[in-house]
Amino acid sequence: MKHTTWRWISDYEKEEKWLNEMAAKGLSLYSFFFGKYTFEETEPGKYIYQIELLEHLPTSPESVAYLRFLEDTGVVCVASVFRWVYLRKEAASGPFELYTDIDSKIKRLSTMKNLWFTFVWLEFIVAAANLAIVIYEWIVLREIPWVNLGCVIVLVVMGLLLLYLGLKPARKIKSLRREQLICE
Amino acid sequence: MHRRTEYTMTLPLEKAPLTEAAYYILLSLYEPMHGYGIMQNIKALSSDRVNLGPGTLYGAINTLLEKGWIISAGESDSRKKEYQITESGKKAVRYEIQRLEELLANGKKITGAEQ
Repeated sequence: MKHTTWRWISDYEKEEKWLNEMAAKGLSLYSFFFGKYTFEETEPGKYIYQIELLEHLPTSPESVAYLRFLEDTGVVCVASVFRWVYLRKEAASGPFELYTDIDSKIKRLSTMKNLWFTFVWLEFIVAAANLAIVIYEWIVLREIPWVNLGCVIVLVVMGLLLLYLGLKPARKIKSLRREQLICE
Repeated sequence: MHRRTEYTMTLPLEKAPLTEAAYYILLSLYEPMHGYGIMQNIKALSSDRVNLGPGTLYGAINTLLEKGWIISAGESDSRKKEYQITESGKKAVRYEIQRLEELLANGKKITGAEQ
């Protein structure tokens, strides 16, 4: 039996937690496409899920080699969107942690931080351009271009959300770096 | 992080302290082995203490390949790539053992821990 749920979760950690709670109940993620989650019925707690941000698109040779390597260790990629992949492993074969030392944890968090901050910059640049149009039209034509003003507001709100997403890994990197001074 | 990188760069390649993961990977590869085999071997060697994550292992393998401390030793079957330690890898391990012996001897001497 398949079950489909629509959901939008922007924080991957919350998403991962939710997927693992579902799997514990016997609903294991089977495919994902932009908010559409499809689950298959399995024994409760059969799989453990992790969400990973690849450095390259899943179809690139680097990522294909990496995903094949993971497969050899019992980790299967069930779905991907852009550079995000949904990985699962059978719980019976032990814990599922992709990264077990500080160096590689920092590397993973940096990939995430960079992704979000790139979007933050893009959002704010486009917002600034729109704001410039608003100001110009208001000064010269004494008219407010509502469309541009709307864009500014939407872009700033989205930018702030992305900033929040990017600051989470940034903060974690900072505390890991401190830890790295005394341990591995 | 930055300072740490500079520090390792100033040391000859074989003389930088190894991470636990790198040390155990190199030790495992005195016999040719594929990725999953390395994970299992390290787990067994350390009596279940070190459970290397596949993401960490993959990154470490690639770095060791770039340094020339291990080579990929052909593919035993079409899927699983095997790796093996090289001479410079063995040199790094020997240096690490000396370093660990020094750490251990000093630790025991000062704390008075029994042999």
